[in-house]
Amino acid sequence: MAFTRPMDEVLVVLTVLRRLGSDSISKLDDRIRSQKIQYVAQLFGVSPRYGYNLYLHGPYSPELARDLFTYSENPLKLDLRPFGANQLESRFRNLQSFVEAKNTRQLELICTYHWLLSIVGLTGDAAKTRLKELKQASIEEINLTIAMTREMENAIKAC
Amino acid sequence: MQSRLVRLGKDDLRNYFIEDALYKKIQSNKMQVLGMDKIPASYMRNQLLDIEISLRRCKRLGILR
Repeated sequence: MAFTRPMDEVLVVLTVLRRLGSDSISKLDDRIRSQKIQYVAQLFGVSPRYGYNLYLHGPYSPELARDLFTYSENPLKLDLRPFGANQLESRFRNLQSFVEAKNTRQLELICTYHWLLSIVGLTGDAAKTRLKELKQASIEEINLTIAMTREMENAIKAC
Repeated sequence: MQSRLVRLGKDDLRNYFIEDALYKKIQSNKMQVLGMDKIPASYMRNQLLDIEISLRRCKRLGILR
Protein backbone atom coordinates (compact mmCIF):
# COMPACT_ATOMS: atom_id res chain seq x y z
CA MET A 1 0.00 0.00 0.00
CA ALA A 2 1.59 3.29 -1.09
CA PHE A 3 0.43 6.39 0.73
CA THR A 4 1.84 9.79 -0.18
CA ARG A 5 2.79 10.37 3.48
CA PRO A 6 4.03 8.17 6.36
CA MET A 7 1.36 5.62 7.23
CA ASP A 8 0.91 6.78 10.84
CA GLU A 9 0.18 10.31 9.68
CA VAL A 10 -2.40 9.04 7.21
CA LEU A 11 -3.97 6.89 9.94
CA VAL A 12 -4.47 10.00 12.10
CA VAL A 13 -6.00 11.85 9.15
CA LEU A 14 -8.38 8.95 8.52
CA THR A 15 -9.20 8.64 12.22
CA VAL A 16 -10.17 12.31 12.43
CA LEU A 17 -12.31 12.02 9.30
CA ARG A 18 -13.96 8.80 10.52
CA ARG A 19 -14.73 10.27 13.95
CA LEU A 20 -16.41 13.17 12.16
CA GLY A 21 -18.32 10.79 9.87
CA SER A 22 -16.57 12.18 6.78
CA ASP A 23 -14.26 9.45 5.54
CA SER A 24 -16.53 8.24 2.74
CA ILE A 25 -15.47 8.98 -0.84
CA SER A 26 -18.22 7.16 -2.70
CA LYS A 27 -20.02 10.29 -3.94
CA LEU A 28 -18.70 13.62 -5.22
CA ASP A 29 -20.32 15.43 -2.28
CA ASP A 30 -18.56 13.04 0.14
CA ARG A 31 -15.20 13.69 -1.50
CA ILE A 32 -15.65 17.45 -1.38
CA ARG A 33 -16.70 17.23 2.27
CA SER A 34 -13.74 15.07 3.32
CA GLN A 35 -11.35 17.47 1.56
CA LYS A 36 -12.82 20.50 3.31
CA ILE A 37 -13.00 18.82 6.73
CA GLN A 38 -9.33 17.90 6.44
CA TYR A 39 -8.54 21.51 5.48
CA VAL A 40 -10.33 22.77 8.60
CA ALA A 41 -8.84 20.00 10.78
CA GLN A 42 -5.37 21.22 9.78
CA LEU A 43 -6.29 24.74 10.88
CA PHE A 44 -7.43 23.38 14.26
CA GLY A 45 -4.09 21.52 14.54
CA VAL A 46 -5.61 18.06 14.95
CA SER A 47 -4.52 16.54 11.66
CA PRO A 48 -1.19 16.36 9.78
CA ARG A 49 -0.82 18.83 6.94
CA TYR A 50 -1.48 18.17 3.30
CA GLY A 51 -0.67 20.73 0.60
CA TYR A 52 -3.77 22.29 -0.97
CA ASN A 53 -4.41 24.12 -4.23
CA LEU A 54 -7.50 26.01 -5.31
CA TYR A 55 -9.71 23.96 -7.63
CA LEU A 56 -13.27 24.18 -8.95
CA HIS A 57 -14.77 23.20 -5.58
CA GLY A 58 -12.36 25.22 -3.44
CA PRO A 59 -9.15 24.10 -1.74
CA TYR A 60 -8.27 20.56 -2.81
CA SER A 61 -5.35 18.27 -2.07
CA PRO A 62 -4.54 15.70 -4.79
CA GLU A 63 -2.30 13.82 -2.28
CA LEU A 64 -5.17 13.53 0.21
CA ALA A 65 -7.46 12.31 -2.58
CA ARG A 66 -4.88 9.69 -3.53
CA ASP A 67 -4.48 8.53 0.08
CA LEU A 68 -8.25 8.30 0.60
CA PHE A 69 -8.56 6.16 -2.52
CA THR A 70 -5.63 3.99 -1.45
CA TYR A 71 -7.27 3.49 1.94
CA SER A 72 -10.67 2.68 0.43
CA GLU A 73 -9.05 -0.09 -1.61
CA ASN A 74 -7.01 -1.39 1.36
CA PRO A 75 -8.89 -0.56 4.58
CA LEU A 76 -6.79 -0.62 7.76
CA LYS A 77 -7.99 -0.86 11.34
CA LEU A 78 -8.29 2.63 12.80
CA ASP A 79 -7.72 3.50 16.44
CA LEU A 80 -10.82 5.57 17.09
CA ARG A 81 -10.13 6.25 20.76
CA PRO A 82 -9.81 9.89 21.84
CA PHE A 83 -6.44 11.57 21.49
CA GLY A 84 -3.99 10.87 24.32
CA ALA A 85 -3.40 14.51 25.28
CA ASN A 86 -6.44 16.30 26.70
CA GLN A 87 -5.51 19.51 24.91
CA LEU A 88 -5.52 17.74 21.55
CA GLU A 89 -8.83 16.03 22.27
CA SER A 90 -10.29 19.35 23.33
CA ARG A 91 -9.22 20.84 19.99
CA PHE A 92 -10.88 17.92 18.23
CA ARG A 93 -14.13 18.63 20.13
CA ASN A 94 -13.96 22.27 19.04
CA LEU A 95 -13.48 21.15 15.45
CA GLN A 96 -16.39 18.74 15.78
CA SER A 97 -18.70 21.45 17.13
CA PHE A 98 -17.68 23.73 14.29
CA VAL A 99 -18.13 21.32 11.37
CA GLU A 100 -21.04 19.13 12.46
CA ALA A 101 -23.78 21.64 11.66
CA LYS A 102 -22.21 22.84 8.40
CA ASN A 103 -23.26 21.43 5.05
CA THR A 104 -20.77 20.74 2.26
CA ARG A 105 -21.55 23.95 0.37
CA GLN A 106 -20.95 26.01 3.51
CA LEU A 107 -17.64 24.26 4.17
CA GLU A 108 -16.61 24.84 0.56
CA LEU A 109 -17.35 28.55 0.87
CA ILE A 110 -15.61 28.88 4.24
CA CYS A 111 -12.46 27.11 3.03
CA THR A 112 -12.39 29.09 -0.23
CA TYR A 113 -12.84 32.39 1.62
CA HIS A 114 -10.16 31.42 4.13
CA TRP A 115 -7.85 30.48 1.23
CA LEU A 116 -8.39 33.80 -0.50
CA LEU A 117 -7.57 35.68 2.69
CA SER A 118 -4.69 33.64 4.06
CA ILE A 119 -2.99 32.15 1.00
CA VAL A 120 -3.77 34.62 -1.77
CA GLY A 121 -3.55 37.50 0.72
CA LEU A 122 -6.61 39.40 -0.48
CA THR A 123 -8.28 42.04 1.67
CA GLY A 124 -11.72 41.25 3.10
CA ASP A 125 -13.53 43.19 0.37
CA ALA A 126 -11.46 41.71 -2.47
CA ALA A 127 -11.96 38.21 -1.07
CA LYS A 128 -15.73 38.80 -0.93
CA THR A 129 -15.81 39.88 -4.58
CA ARG A 130 -13.63 36.95 -5.67
CA LEU A 131 -15.75 34.49 -3.67
CA LYS A 132 -18.87 35.77 -5.39
CA GLU A 133 -17.24 35.29 -8.81
CA LEU A 134 -15.75 31.89 -8.10
CA LYS A 135 -18.70 30.32 -6.31
CA GLN A 136 -21.64 32.22 -7.75
CA ALA A 137 -22.50 32.91 -4.13
CA SER A 138 -25.45 35.08 -3.13
CA ILE A 139 -25.03 38.06 -0.77
CA GLU A 140 -26.71 36.02 2.00
CA GLU A 141 -24.28 33.15 1.45
CA ILE A 142 -21.29 35.49 1.46
CA ASN A 143 -22.35 37.22 4.66
CA LEU A 144 -22.96 33.87 6.32
CA THR A 145 -19.55 32.63 5.10
CA ILE A 146 -17.80 35.66 6.60
CA ALA A 147 -19.58 35.13 9.93
CA MET A 148 -18.77 31.40 9.97
CA THR A 149 -15.13 32.02 9.05
CA ARG A 150 -14.90 34.43 11.98
CA GLU A 151 -16.54 31.77 14.18
CA MET A 152 -13.92 29.28 12.98
CA GLU A 153 -11.01 31.63 13.69
CA ASN A 154 -12.35 32.31 17.18
CA ALA A 155 -12.76 28.58 17.83
CA ILE A 156 -9.15 28.01 16.71
CA LYS A 157 -7.87 30.81 18.96
CA ALA A 158 -9.79 29.32 21.90
CA CYS A 159 -7.96 25.97 21.52
CA MET B 1 10.62 15.37 16.50
CA GLN B 2 11.04 11.64 16.04
CA SER B 3 14.75 11.69 16.81
CA ARG B 4 13.97 13.62 20.01
CA LEU B 5 11.43 10.97 20.99
CA VAL B 6 14.02 8.28 20.41
CA ARG B 7 16.51 10.17 22.57
CA LEU B 8 13.96 10.49 25.36
CA GLY B 9 13.55 6.74 25.33
CA LYS B 10 10.83 4.15 25.65
CA ASP B 11 10.36 4.61 29.41
CA ASP B 12 9.42 8.22 28.87
CA LEU B 13 6.88 7.18 26.29
CA ARG B 14 5.42 4.76 28.80
CA ASN B 15 5.28 7.46 31.48
CA TYR B 16 3.21 9.59 29.17
CA PHE B 17 0.24 7.40 29.91
CA ILE B 18 0.75 7.66 33.65
CA GLU B 19 1.49 11.30 34.31
CA ASP B 20 1.91 13.12 31.04
CA ALA B 21 5.66 13.14 31.70
CA LEU B 22 6.67 13.00 28.07
CA TYR B 23 4.74 16.14 27.34
CA LYS B 24 6.40 17.99 30.22
CA LYS B 25 9.81 16.62 29.39
CA ILE B 26 9.63 17.64 25.77
CA GLN B 27 8.31 21.01 26.81
CA SER B 28 11.26 21.64 29.14
CA ASN B 29 13.71 20.13 26.69
CA LYS B 30 12.52 22.39 23.88
CA MET B 31 12.69 25.34 26.24
CA GLN B 32 16.38 24.65 26.81
CA VAL B 33 17.07 24.10 23.14
CA LEU B 34 15.30 27.24 22.09
CA GLY B 35 16.28 29.28 25.14
CA MET B 36 12.71 30.38 25.60
CA ASP B 37 10.66 30.95 28.73
CA LYS B 38 7.48 30.05 26.99
CA ILE B 39 6.78 27.98 23.92
CA PRO B 40 4.50 29.69 21.39
CA ALA B 41 1.03 28.13 21.20
CA SER B 42 1.41 27.52 17.47
CA TYR B 43 4.62 25.57 18.12
CA MET B 44 2.99 23.39 20.77
CA ARG B 45 0.04 22.85 18.47
CA ASN B 46 2.24 20.93 16.02
CA GLN B 47 4.28 19.39 18.80
CA LEU B 48 1.26 17.73 20.41
CA LEU B 49 0.16 16.25 17.13
CA ASP B 50 3.66 14.92 16.44
CA ILE B 51 3.67 13.28 19.86
CA GLU B 52 0.26 11.73 19.21
CA ILE B 53 1.40 10.32 15.87
CA SER B 54 4.55 8.87 17.45
CA LEU B 55 2.58 7.32 20.31
CA ARG B 56 0.07 5.77 17.93
CA ARG B 57 2.95 4.41 15.88
CA CYS B 58 4.47 2.87 19.01
CA LYS B 59 1.12 1.27 19.86
CA ARG B 60 0.61 -0.01 16.32
CA LEU B 61 4.06 -1.59 16.36
CA GLY B 62 3.45 -3.12 19.78
CA ILE B 63 6.11 -1.04 21.60
CA LEU B 64 3.40 0.42 23.80
CA ARG B 65 0.02 -0.92 24.84
